[in-house]
Amino acid sequence: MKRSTMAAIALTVSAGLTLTACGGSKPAPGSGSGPRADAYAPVEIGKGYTTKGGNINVLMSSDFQTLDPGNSNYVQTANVGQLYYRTLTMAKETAGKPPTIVPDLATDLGKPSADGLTWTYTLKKGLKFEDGTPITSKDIKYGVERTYARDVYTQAPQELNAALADDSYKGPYSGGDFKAIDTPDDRTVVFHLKQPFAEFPALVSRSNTAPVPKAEDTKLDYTNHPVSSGPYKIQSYDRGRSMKLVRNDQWNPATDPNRTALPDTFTFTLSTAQATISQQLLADSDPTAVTLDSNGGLQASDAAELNKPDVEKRTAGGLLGCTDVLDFNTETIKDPDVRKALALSIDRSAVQVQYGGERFGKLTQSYINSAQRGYVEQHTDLDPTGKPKLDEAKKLLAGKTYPKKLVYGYADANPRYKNVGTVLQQNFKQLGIDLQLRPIPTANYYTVLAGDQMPDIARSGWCGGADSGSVRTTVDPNLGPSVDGETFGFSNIPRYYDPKISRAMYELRGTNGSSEELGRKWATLFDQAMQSYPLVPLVRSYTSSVVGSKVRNAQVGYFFGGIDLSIIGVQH
Amino acid sequence: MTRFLTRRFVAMILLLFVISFVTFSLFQLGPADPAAAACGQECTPQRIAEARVALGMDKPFLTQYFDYMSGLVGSRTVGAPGSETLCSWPCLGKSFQTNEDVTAIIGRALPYTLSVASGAIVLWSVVGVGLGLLAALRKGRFTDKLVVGAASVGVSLPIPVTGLLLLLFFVSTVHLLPFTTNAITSPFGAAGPGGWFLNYLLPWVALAVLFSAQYIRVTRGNMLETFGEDFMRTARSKGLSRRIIVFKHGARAGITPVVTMLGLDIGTLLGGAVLTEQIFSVPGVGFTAVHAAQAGDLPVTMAITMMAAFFIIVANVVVDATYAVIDPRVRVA
Repeated sequence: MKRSTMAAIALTVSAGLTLTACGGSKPAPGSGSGPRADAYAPVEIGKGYTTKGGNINVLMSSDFQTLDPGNSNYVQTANVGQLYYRTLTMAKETAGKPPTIVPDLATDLGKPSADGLTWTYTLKKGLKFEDGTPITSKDIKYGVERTYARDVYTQAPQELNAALADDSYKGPYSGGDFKAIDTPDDRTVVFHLKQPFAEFPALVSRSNTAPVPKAEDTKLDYTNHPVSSGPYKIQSYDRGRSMKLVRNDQWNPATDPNRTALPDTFTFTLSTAQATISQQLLADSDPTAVTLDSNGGLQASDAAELNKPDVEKRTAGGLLGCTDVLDFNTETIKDPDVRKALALSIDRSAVQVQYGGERFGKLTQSYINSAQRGYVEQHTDLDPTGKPKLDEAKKLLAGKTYPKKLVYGYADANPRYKNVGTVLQQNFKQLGIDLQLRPIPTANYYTVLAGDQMPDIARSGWCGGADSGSVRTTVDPNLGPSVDGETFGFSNIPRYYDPKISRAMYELRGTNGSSEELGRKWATLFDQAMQSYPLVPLVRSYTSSVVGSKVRNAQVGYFFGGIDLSIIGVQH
Repeated sequence: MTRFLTRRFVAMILLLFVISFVTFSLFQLGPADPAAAACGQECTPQRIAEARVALGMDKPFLTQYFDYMSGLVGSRTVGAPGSETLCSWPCLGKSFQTNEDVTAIIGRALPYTLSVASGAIVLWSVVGVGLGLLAALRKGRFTDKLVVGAASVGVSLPIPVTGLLLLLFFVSTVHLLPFTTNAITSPFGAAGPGGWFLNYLLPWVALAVLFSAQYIRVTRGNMLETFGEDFMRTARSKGLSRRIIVFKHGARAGITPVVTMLGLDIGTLLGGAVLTEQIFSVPGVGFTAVHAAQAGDLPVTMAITMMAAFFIIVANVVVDATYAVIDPRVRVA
């Protein structure tokens, strides 16, 4: 017993050491990135390829949490989902840019009523499930209804549900009839909203509106074989090992201009360690392979490999909609000047290094970006190159009473976030502030940030929300609006409240108009809010994804953060 | 002997209960909330509460524990009211992450672990005992120094170092061996014994480097001690051949403690070679355990902890029983 105990302890200790060591690698500043004209320009591989046939092998480090469109809240699953289900509208990816919302099962992006409270969709003709059964409006309605059964499906997307009337509905298993959707005939779906929502066409692009035939609903077991409405169907799914998709002969390409469906099959290899995936891709050991793992499965230490000519010509890349920021708790750091001083004292270029250098992220001046609809110029005193402005920071603090001890909370699974804290510790020391680092279990990190335990400073990130092309879906959840200054939305981590700005945001929520014109108003209010520095923009993600040498039409999706499977092809 | 074994069996069951209770308590008292993890950032307190119901975490601690343990004696239902599903015996619950039966998850992972363990055990015991014996026979000579030196290096090299070096050299640099694939689980599958052998060769070598180093040292030490025993002197004075003296008389006595050590190591290894499986991306029990623990997947983590404990305890009982057979004094201890 003694020996085995010793062995167990030894294994545990070395496991701990390894995990720490693996995550703790810190590259040199900008490591692995050679001089490029525009380091953040999108890179597409084998663009314009149109030949059908062949197989794509998708390497993944883990199994899918679910394949059920009604229980799926992950971009990775949504990317795969494009292959076997369709939705009323679809977020069509373009590398480096927010996706365009285009019609999918519906004939157009929907017709809003004059007051913006009703949206009507008409289904295209000739739509069928994999068994040949016609897809009707009732199947769409049933798909949405299932996502209300939140006591059954823990990961159902909720943006659409929050916008619809009758949001106290409990789902089709115990809630009876759902009044927020009407289906006057087999091809018409009518949504009733609580208040106008200009981005509604984007909301119905989420997996909620994937049709589900009621007779085939096996609740939580539906994930084993969701009925296909897309170009591929599931031939086999061996949990934890592999999945194979083959062509769905009931899919009518005439109804679907968005998916090229080039490969005959997709094979998913599940449960391969991320380090092995990156090595396999770098070595081109399978010329038909791609990965959907975050960061293209690459570790920061792989940055140098990306410069090798053979690897570089196989590396698709693009900026994502995801941006990391530093949130100040405005309830504990109340003075805007103090927050600004803290922001100015931060060496953001050193923070960028902790993210893996410029190959892994771009320094940013704002949470929103110019590619979003209705963007207006944002103002900030932060140095664009990320250098601290210590003198200005000290001037702002002169004669002020400010806290000499602050706490920075970080998610404990990724050493990168702790390292960011170490950078802040050094920066704030220059202002005479002692920063303590507090690890928070990753599993409930955001719950802690939303509750009473929110530290003075924390890091968070956002990928654009329900519609990454919209300014609103970034600004609204993240900076308000609080109506009373007492209660805050779950994602308003800084607990931002300004009587005038928050009120204006609140009113904007219910305003009718186009996404573009409302976006301008949201962006203007956001710029005003940012002058009091509730948060500091840090790094916007850039993903490089190495693909096999025979893979064509490979682009990194802005929303998916990985290779877009809907247009990919393979030379064979 | 029967009384001894019965006593050890009862103790084993009690120990498993204690381990299950401690593991369950650690998860319940721990800071991570699986419901919050399932919900993600765009979650609300209301949704977390709903997720908690769906995962059955809204019930009192002891109710949850006894619900869980009842699955070991019969089938039970799991899931939120109105959406219960039957979990057939032996029910170790359903994964919080994928809603899959935990027994299915473990059943899938176990062949990988068995593949890694079986080859590694053969390799390290043959190499370890063989070299240990050789070093003992060549005591003080160059071969002895070389083997002991190599064992010292081997024992101080952790799996992450040897594993990564092996991968880097044989797979990434000289392309002599393939990347391990999760499609191969046994020598009787489509890849055949050859494919299985090549697939698991590197994990075996990585494990064997660490373990055989210990076996070399123990075997050498025991053999040297045995060589000095009176019965060995007697054997030599009888004029027996060197082969018979070493293998028939010496090895039988000198290797017995090594067999005990092997029993315990097998027990530990069947619980999952966590690091080896991680490094070579073999989706075995250890690999599954790490992923489950990171995701706060209580049913999977619980089941693997219990299984690992079970193997270690069984190995201990087997080793104790073997001792009892060899040395009757142990039975009354």
